[in-house]
Amino acid sequence: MDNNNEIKKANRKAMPKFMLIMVVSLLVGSTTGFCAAKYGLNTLADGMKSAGAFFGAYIAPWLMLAAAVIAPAVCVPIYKSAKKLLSSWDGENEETSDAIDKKLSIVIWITSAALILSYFLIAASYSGGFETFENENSVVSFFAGIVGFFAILVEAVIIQQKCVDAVKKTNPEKTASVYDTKFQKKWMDSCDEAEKIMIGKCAVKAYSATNTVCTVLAIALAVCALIFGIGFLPSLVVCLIWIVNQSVYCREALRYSKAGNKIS
Amino acid sequence: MILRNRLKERRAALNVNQQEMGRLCGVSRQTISLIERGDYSPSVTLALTIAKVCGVTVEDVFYLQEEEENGQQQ
Repeated sequence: MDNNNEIKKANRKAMPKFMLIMVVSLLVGSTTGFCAAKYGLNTLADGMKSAGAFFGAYIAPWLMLAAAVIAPAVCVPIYKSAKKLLSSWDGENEETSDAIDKKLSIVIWITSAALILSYFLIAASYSGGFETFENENSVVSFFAGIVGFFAILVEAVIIQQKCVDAVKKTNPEKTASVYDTKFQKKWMDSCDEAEKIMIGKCAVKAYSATNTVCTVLAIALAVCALIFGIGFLPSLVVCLIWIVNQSVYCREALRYSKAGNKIS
Repeated sequence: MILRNRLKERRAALNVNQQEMGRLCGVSRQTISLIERGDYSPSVTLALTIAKVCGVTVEDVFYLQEEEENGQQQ
């Protein structure tokens, strides 16, 4: 009986959130349906395609260039302040070392995000195909984007290498170089039990977030394939990421269930 | 029950900093810091290693403490 009550209590607790998701889904669905009915599916799809083409030809390249300027403008001062703290650190003060770790993590996070954003933006710039080169303005935008893209690549590698080197100064047991093709494996090997537990917790959060994002995207892209005729390639990519995410997690869970903590 | 420790005192007795203690125990400075702050409960292997490095028994470094009344009510 107690167990039954607990199940009911848990259901009652989860119900408001579930209802909220249902209401939001209803609003999004009805708005899309209304727009499709009022303006016609083809008009809506054409509008989206035109907006996408304009974004790819004229906005994405300049966004890349802007990201190439903004990312170091934000990261370099944070990195320098971490370096300043590092040079004054006595090797013992925990507040200082925590502040250094936090600043370096933020820098790595921003540069990684800029790098991922640049991959999307370069794809958006290419999406116009060879028609891009028929218009002088879009050619200028395209080459500005290429410059921005390579600038972000170089900046990300250099800044992240500097951050990893700074981390290595506070953690002499870590020796892996970012230029090493086996960097991640070597870095993991140099982590102790507490660090591995922390990485595991972060990985579970990332796994969970990826699953949620893939679920939402798979549904949205399935609807978009029907309404806007975007084809099945975006759905294929999302589902591929989803399957890899699930499969790797399940495979590793099976291995660990048999071997305890003996697998690194 | 909460796991408490006297690692900071034991480390002071050895006259080594967190970095050196970490090196002696085969872990990072952060892990030593986390243990000292009570934010990380080490594995049995690490607890035994720490005790060995300090030249004492595990119970001399780590001990269990009853949770306080207020903590239980929360």
